[in-house]
Amino acid sequence: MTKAVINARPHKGISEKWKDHLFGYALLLPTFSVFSLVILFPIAKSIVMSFYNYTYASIKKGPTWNSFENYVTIFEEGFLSQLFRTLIFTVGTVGLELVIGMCIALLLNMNIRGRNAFRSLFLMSWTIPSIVTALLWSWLFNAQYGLIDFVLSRIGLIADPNMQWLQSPSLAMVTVIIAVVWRQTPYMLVMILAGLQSINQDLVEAAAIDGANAFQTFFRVKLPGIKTVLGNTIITCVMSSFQQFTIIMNMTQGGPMKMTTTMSIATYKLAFTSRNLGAGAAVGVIWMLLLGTGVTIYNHVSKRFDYE
Amino acid sequence: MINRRSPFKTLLIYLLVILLLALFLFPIYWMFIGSLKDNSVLMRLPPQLYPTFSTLESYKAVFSNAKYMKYILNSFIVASMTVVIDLVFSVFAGYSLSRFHYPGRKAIMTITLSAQVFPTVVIIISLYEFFSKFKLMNTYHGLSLADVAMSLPLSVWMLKSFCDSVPRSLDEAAKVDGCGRFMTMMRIVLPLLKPGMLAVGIYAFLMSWDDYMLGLVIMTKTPLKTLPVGISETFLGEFGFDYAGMMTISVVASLPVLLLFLVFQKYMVAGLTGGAVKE
Repeated sequence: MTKAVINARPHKGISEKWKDHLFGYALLLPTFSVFSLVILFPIAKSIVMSFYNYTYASIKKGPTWNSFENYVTIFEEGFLSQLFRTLIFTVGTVGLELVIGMCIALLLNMNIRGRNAFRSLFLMSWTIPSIVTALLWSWLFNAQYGLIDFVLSRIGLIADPNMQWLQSPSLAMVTVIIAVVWRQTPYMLVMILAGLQSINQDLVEAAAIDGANAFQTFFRVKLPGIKTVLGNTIITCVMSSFQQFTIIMNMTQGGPMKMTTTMSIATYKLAFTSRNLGAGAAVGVIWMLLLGTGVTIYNHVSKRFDYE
Repeated sequence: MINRRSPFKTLLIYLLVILLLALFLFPIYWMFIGSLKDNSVLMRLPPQLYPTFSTLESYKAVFSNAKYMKYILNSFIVASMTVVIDLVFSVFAGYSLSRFHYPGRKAIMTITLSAQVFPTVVIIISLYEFFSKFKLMNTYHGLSLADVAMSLPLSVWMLKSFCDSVPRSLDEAAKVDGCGRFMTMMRIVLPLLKPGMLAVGIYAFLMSWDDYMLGLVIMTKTPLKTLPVGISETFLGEFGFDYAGMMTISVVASLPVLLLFLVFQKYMVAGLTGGAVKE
């Protein structure tokens, strides 16, 4: 500040540097306004709501402060099981996306002809709308006429040719995970492939000259080389799995027996089906605390905002 | 490569890649051929694995259904508005974050990249009140604004890295020539950002076209509903057993984004990976 004042020419008022800064701020203004209106204010309001008795019935009388009542309610409504379901779903989806995406990326990275064409073809499932993904996989997993039951029973992997997937408490989660993995893996694949291609090829060749085998090259050269991309991509995928709503809602509605009720389904149902907005907001607040803490720790450890 | 791969190994790699690709593309194939059969064929075992071109009945049903046409139109209007607003805002913000080192810049970048921590479902709990206050409920621009907010974080980030790749010396030369700050951005840097803007525009379109939750809450009146919400209502309800209809509307909903992506995939991949890979 003082520096700016010293630099300022008397007849101009503010220095060139601060004019630059002000211009920069002005350019950010539209984005900042939308962010405030659509994200920041609603989030702040939801946090406040989580401490109020805020149901459709109580809105007319005016919401009343009820301290941690909503948080007690959500634990009675099975918050711990929803948290557990969310973690299974997230670990399942991101884990599979990582393994499958990594395998395909390594294959495509092997100097093959038509790599870019393959990459684009793999990305096709990522562009299919979520609602379509839900319908399509529900049809594939259909118990009466579905192709998957037919094929699996024909090759003898399952005994019952009409096996229930989406209606079975033990299989519904697996089914939903498969649908999400199908849609999201291409994203992971493209990011990993881009990371692999940014590795200096000399390092890989040097490792080969030194007699490193494929595994050693992968764990000692390639993996460290894509550490940053991989970390950021995993974080993005974890956050998006926590958020997954469309596919779960349209395949199972959170059932059967609440086995696919993740936090995002639970928040929606509490707020809009049970019409208890305060309790829905309370689930959201714990969710943001968990994710926020995780991301902050990750940012700190990886120093991901240090590069320019 | 120092030692050449044996032809056998090369063949094995191609076979593996093609096998995996077939697994990923099969559901899309299944959707297409399902839309060309009628329900009596679809509900028959063993399933027909090959396409038949005997019936376009379900396409006729979709395109003669005024409700579907309205949903599709609504989705197009909202997605197009989202693209325009998102582009203007993210070009400004991306240029700003790339060129000016003002106080608070780092904090803004951190928030931008971490915005996904804020769940959409938690936002919509109280969005209703804000949107009612500003008369944005049941309006195209209201839903676009919400969609813009969801795609802005990555859009800004992508355009910032595209701006970073435009040499600063261009800005400085323009300044020496007496070009103002706004004109430097519009006349000098903007034309060089076309690939980046294409990537961001397609990304915003995909995001808006895919949105289900915001549309569900903001568009409560039937004539304003978007395609995903309309599809969900129809097939989770009374038409739950019309598999041919389900696959047909799936094709109709996927084709615009699929084509858009296939035409511009080069820019899209560059946009997605550009910001993340740079060291």
